[in-house]
Amino acid sequence: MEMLKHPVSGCITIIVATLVLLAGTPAQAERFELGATSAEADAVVGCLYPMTGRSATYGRDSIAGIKIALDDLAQEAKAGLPAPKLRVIADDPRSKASYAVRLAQDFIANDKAQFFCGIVSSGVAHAVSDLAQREKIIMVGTDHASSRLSIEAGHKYYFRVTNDSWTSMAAGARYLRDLQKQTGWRKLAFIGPDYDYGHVSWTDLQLALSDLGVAYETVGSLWPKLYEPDYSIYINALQSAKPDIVVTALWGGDFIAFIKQAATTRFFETTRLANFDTGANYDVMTALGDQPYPGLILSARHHNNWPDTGRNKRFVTQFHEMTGRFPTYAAEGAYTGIIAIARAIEKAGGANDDAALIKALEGLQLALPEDPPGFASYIDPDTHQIVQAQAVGTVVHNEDFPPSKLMVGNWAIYDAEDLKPSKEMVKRRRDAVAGGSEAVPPPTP
Amino acid sequence: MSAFHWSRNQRLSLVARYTLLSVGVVVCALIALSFLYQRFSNELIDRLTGERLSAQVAATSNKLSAFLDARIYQLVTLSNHPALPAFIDAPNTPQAEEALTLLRVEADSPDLYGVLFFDRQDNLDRLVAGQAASGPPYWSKTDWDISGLPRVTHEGVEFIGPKLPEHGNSGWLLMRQQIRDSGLGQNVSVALHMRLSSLTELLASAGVAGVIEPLLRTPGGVVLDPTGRPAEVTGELVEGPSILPGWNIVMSVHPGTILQPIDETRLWLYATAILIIAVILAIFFALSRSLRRRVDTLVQGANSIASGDLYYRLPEGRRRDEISTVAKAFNTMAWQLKDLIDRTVRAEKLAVLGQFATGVAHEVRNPLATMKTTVQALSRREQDEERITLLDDMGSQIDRLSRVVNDLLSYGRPGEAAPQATAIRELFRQTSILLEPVADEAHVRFFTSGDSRLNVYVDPEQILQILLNLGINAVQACNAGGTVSLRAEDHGDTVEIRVTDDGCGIAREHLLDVTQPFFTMKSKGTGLGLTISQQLVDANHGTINIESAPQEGTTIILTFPASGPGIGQEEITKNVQADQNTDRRR
Repeated sequence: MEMLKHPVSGCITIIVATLVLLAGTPAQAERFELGATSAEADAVVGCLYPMTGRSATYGRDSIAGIKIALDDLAQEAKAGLPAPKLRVIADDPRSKASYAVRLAQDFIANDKAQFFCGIVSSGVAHAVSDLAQREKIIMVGTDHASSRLSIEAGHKYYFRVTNDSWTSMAAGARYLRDLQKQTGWRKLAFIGPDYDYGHVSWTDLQLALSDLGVAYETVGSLWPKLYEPDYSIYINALQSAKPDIVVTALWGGDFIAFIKQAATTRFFETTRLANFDTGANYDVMTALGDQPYPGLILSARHHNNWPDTGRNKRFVTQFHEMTGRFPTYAAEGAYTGIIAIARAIEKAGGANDDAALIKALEGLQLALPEDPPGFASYIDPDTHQIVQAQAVGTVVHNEDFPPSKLMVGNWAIYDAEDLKPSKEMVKRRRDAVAGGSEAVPPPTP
Repeated sequence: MSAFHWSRNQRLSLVARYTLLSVGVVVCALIALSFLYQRFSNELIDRLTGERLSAQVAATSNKLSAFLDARIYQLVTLSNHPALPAFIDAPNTPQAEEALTLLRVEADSPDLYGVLFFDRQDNLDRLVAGQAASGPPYWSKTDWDISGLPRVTHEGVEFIGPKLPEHGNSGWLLMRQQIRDSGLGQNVSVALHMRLSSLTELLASAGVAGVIEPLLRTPGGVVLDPTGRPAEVTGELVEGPSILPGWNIVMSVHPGTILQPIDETRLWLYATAILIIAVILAIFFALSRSLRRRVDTLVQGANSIASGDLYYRLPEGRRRDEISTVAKAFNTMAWQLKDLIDRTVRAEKLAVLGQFATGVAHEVRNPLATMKTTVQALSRREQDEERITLLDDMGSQIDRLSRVVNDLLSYGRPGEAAPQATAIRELFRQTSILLEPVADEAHVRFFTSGDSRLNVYVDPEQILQILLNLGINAVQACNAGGTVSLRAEDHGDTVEIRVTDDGCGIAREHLLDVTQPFFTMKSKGTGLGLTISQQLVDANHGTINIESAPQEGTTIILTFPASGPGIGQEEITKNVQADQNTDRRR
């Protein structure tokens, strides 16, 4: 409402913050303050994104995505729509749960944050989700994907507005089922980062394949640590296992490093490599150069070249005009997070009633850049997980998004409702941990 | 028996020796190469499994020990932290918060899943999950049981595990120590929940891809690979240093991985060598058989010559190899041998006949002379025409006998040749003078032709006699209207003189006999003309050849050494002009 009264000052704040960001001299080394001032903001959102290391791209693009969302909200306010004024603070947890919890506590104590958003790593997200539950702060997660966060460890304050590992693996399982009819593949191996996201992705894939009745043989599951600098022993182990298909949950710089190392061996001559959750990210496309390695099967939570809708084109163009580069999927995730919070505030009529906000978020429909024509994403009231369609494909030459010379094409599209976890499966997974050591002993705060 | 005989011959043959030498060289090279291969292989194994490997294993052991030392230090720091007892007993105090902050930071170590606390009964009391936490005990107590895991103690720290990866969960290891007793009587231990792979990944640097795989043997007897999974041990295990009680590095050595291609190459080498030897032997048998066949032909030829068949000639073939050269030399030898024998026989025959003829001539010539004188005296005194005619006939017959006697004497005592540079033109001129009347009388056309500038190095008198003999024979062979010619041609070092007629020719069967003494096809011949001519030709270092066909004519080819220019150019030119005029006249 404040925004309606002072739309210009909100825009100025955004512009100033943008200039500060682009100048590369933020007031604090890893902290960004975007949107309205604390005095005029309808709500404060504390976001955690990595700004350093292999996943720094995710943080940078998320910040840009947040800015686009704030711009859109400002435009709406300017047009007389009831868009709330948000103050967004972003900081870098350095992929550490301890950092993240401390920063989130400071968001509450110092910045009076009413929402948490972001967090790329599921391991970090778990800790922050636990904090959110304890502190009764609504957490709108983006880009961490462990389905465990919304199924086994889900709670009423936790929401996620980007595809989770279940959605991606359900799409991947369908792709593999169809591929098996063509190629007759039998041997499957999995390699994922040794933390929550990797293990849950493998579990999700196995469950999804089992649900579809796909017969296969698991010849290995490997768990290099996050940000592993050298994958040679794992590539050797995979080659020794002789799988037909390797599914990986390595993401970001880890996935790129793995591909580059595998390309120095005969890995791609005998094995197809599939990454259904993050593999089609734009930074991967750029890193592939101009020669697609044979057999790659990729998808991601958002694609610059799919769907071919005005909404998606507009988002990609906005991002490009703002930053001079094309977005990774993190940008659309962060954008979605801010838009979801804004829409919840609008729907709840304010940001002070948690129960109303939660009710507003449950079942909230969002028309997003990644939605194919005729479909709008929505948040499942039970799992608090957004329900979205997913497209899986292979690498093709496409120079529409330079400097990348490759993009994913040959799409196989899977409807959102098909990818949603069944109520039976959700119940089964939740029952399996009920009364378990999650309760006794409880995770220490 | 024949096969044995044959093979024995082969063994003794030159081809067999060369073949054995070739095979021997190949075999020696093979043995030497095999020896070098073996030595190379052994050296390779020594290098891979020897000193260098030991150094690598020692370095890797140090890495693992240093990693564990760092974790031990981390654990000891935690277990002795003054705020930790408060974390256990007074959760909401500032000291507890301080400890929690520390625990969270430590739990976020990339090599840990979290920090766990146990009571004295080994029950999990509480935990601090790190960024990498997943599976039990963080998600569920299912599958969480440490009672059956191996335990060893090192530097006051209890190592529990390893817990092997299973059901999609990673393997782990607990490092546990009692927290410092602050006087409150806590009996709680703190443990680092460590990634098993963080320890085994350090093994990777010690290996040689595909040949030596570094592994970690754990107290339970399970051997782990660098990814932290139980390894299927297939090769020889070489024990390495211990990093903890019951934990030691072992190297799985698969020399076959690197030696297999070498051994395969060696087998191929042997196979190739055997093939080469087989090819050499096959070539040997083929060559030997061919050589033997051709040598047999040589031997057969030699035997034929030895048995008197001087006309036996070997097939020389188109090849220009050693055997063909020998065959050619053999044939040349046969020709020369026959020629020598012919000459010797003829010489001996002539010598015998000459002695005989000379003896007879001596005995006959004087009585003939007396008879001639007597007949001439009687004829002069005789008035009776009939008697005169008879006496003249007798005189003619005595003359004829005298000629025969003279021929016999010429034959039996051939004069020594006195060769000198002699102009062909002069020879032809004198021959023409003497022969033309004879030809005219027989109505035979006679002419000379060719290069009259030529000179020959001969006794002119003897050559003149030859030409007259041959010319008269030619005229006599012709019918009226026939033609006889003399022609000289330059052949470099020799000059060829052809005496040609178009008369009755000589039958093929008589060609070899016409030079024999007393062989004649004429009713009034002595059969010595050609024989004497042959003698004179030989005496002048010439050759005589006869080409003839019945009813077509005969050409006798005389070859004499050419003489250097001994006659002035002007005279030659003049003589040539005169010859041309003579030819035109005829």
